[in-house]
Amino acid sequence: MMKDSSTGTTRTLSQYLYVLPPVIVIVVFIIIPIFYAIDLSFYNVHLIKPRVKLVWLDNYFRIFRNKTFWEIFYNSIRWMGFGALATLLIGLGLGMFLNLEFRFNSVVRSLIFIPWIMPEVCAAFAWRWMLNSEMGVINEILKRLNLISHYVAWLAEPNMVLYVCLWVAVWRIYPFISLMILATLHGIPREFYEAGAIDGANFWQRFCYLTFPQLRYALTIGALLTVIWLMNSFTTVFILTEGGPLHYSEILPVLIYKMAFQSYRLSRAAALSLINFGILLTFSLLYLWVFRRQWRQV
Amino acid sequence: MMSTRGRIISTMLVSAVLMMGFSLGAVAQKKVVVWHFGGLPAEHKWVDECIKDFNAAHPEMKVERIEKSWMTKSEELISAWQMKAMPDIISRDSVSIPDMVEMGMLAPLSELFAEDIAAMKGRWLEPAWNLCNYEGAQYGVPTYVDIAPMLAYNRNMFAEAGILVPTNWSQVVEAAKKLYTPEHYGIILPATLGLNDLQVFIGIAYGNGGRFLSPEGDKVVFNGKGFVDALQLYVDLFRKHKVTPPGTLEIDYMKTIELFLRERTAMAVGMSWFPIVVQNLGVPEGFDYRMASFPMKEKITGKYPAAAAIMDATTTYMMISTSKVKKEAWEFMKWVTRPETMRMWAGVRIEGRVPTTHEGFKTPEIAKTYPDLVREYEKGTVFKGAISMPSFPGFTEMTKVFGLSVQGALLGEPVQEALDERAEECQDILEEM
Repeated sequence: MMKDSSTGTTRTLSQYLYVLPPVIVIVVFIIIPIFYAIDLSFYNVHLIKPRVKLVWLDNYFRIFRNKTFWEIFYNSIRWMGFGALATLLIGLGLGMFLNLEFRFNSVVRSLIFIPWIMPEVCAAFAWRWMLNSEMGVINEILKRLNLISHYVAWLAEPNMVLYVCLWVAVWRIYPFISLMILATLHGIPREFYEAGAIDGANFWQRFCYLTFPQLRYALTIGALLTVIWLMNSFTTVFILTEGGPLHYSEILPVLIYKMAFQSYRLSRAAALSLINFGILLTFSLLYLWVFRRQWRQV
Repeated sequence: MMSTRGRIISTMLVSAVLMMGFSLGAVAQKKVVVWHFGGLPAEHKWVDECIKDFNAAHPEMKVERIEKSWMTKSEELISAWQMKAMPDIISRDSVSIPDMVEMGMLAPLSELFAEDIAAMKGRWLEPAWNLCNYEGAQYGVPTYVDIAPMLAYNRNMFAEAGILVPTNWSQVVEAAKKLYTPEHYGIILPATLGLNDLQVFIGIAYGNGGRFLSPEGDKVVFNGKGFVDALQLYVDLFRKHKVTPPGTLEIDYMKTIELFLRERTAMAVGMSWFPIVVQNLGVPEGFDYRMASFPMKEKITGKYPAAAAIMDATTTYMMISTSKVKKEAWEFMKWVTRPETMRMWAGVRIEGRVPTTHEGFKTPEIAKTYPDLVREYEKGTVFKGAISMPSFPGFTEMTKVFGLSVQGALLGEPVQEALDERAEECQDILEEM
């Protein structure tokens, strides 16, 4: 019995030792910074005039009273909402297309995955040049095809700029979603469709009653992941427009960066980052709750 | 006869002694790290040659230069300052000196090396030297200055249109309207939130008697008539006369120059570094252009004296307060700003930088690039009427807020309202300082 107990202890100890490195990384790089940010947000740390004072929730009140913050918050909601919708629709369409059997299917799959594997910085710079109103290739092609008479200021037109930046962000994400959809489609038994065909179901009926129910879980996971990734999209927006013109393409991550590194207000940036963290945490918990089915299987 | 083991041991001992010797030599040699923000490849090459000569002449020291991006200079320095991982010397713009002094980042050269500073300052023109002075202490040694605002114009287009170089704002508008064709714009005004673009506009406003802060420095006054009329000029060119590109708000100073070289515009607004960038990009064959000061308004409407130009010492060498090799760093700063090296900024290698020293204004190259400035130097009036670009603690933050008023007006907000709203915000920031 004693031998069994010591073997059990040894096995438990070694199990803990295996998980210790990632736990240390999570504590040092995630947990501690979160608590530091919470603490920082209750002060008024400003790099130019470093007179540190405890101000409790003053930073949060100032943020919520600021009109610009609500404009940027509204941008972020539109960014997440439209971005998730566009990514899912494009990913779904592409996934179903790739599920078809045709020549060079594997080549097309590889090409479609390029945006996902391209570094975000490179993609953003490339799109910035392509979308340039005077020297960009997109305006040049559209003008030569007589689709536009004057160059379009894609990144300077207030009504359009947020959606143009969103397109670039979506362009990077939809390949992953389409791959997820494709993998799920491959898991649907062919007999379902054969039975449907026998019963006289058309394409739309097969999609609504056979395909879509099987895709619900993958689409939910895809939507949550897309929202989380979009909420963290600092690089794309900052490189394309830095949130301009004015605040028309600014989202929360860009505001946080500007508050810290251009306004030098570290405490207020910490408060903003915690607000952003709260939104992300909500969606992350939702993701875990939806994913609990998988956890239970494990 | 030594055994094999003996040979191995003695080889290892000799290697260990040699390594120790090299290490001690390296420890004795003091390292000075320089962060060089921005600049052009030709300038970097010249500074590297200078460093090579310095290292050869001073074997007890080793200077290492690291190139850093101009676009992220504030972010890099703040991060390094927080992590206590600063270099010994930085080279960047003099307008940032107040912010950095308030953060405790810079060493006061006039206190640490009083005799040297007193001896060397006579080589510099006083207005340029004073750009690096803050609250009575000298924090940097300037190499050249950038001046705003400047107007670049395409001589061929002007000749074809039969018009003369404008000498006031009304003529700028008329010239831009006459020069606008389906193939090219009349004028490009860079209008992003970048500091260079905003400095160009501020220069135009200062030329109309506007100021960012009151002379006492306690009130934000950029919503005065000087700035209002300057912004109205921008708005009229962009919205009313439509002689500028529709993407003006995304066109920065670099793209302005590129479009100018591609003959997509007859005129472009910029700063004195225009020829430098043109030289770097390469002048197309047959392209003929000139630079002139951006004209002032027919009648100055601002409250303050019209500034002939505003200046910034864009590559100023500054010492970091936490440097552990201050004496050695100072030796390098003196070396890199001695007359032989300063000739680079006087047109010897790079065409287009405005020199800051007396000897710089005496080179034949500068006489070719800036004959007007050389004439003024000889008359003793160079930089007369020119003042520093706005430079005070909190300026970096306020510029971003101010820039929103420019973009807001260009996007349709009434000019006075756009400036009033942001002036109020900047006043709050100023009072916090």
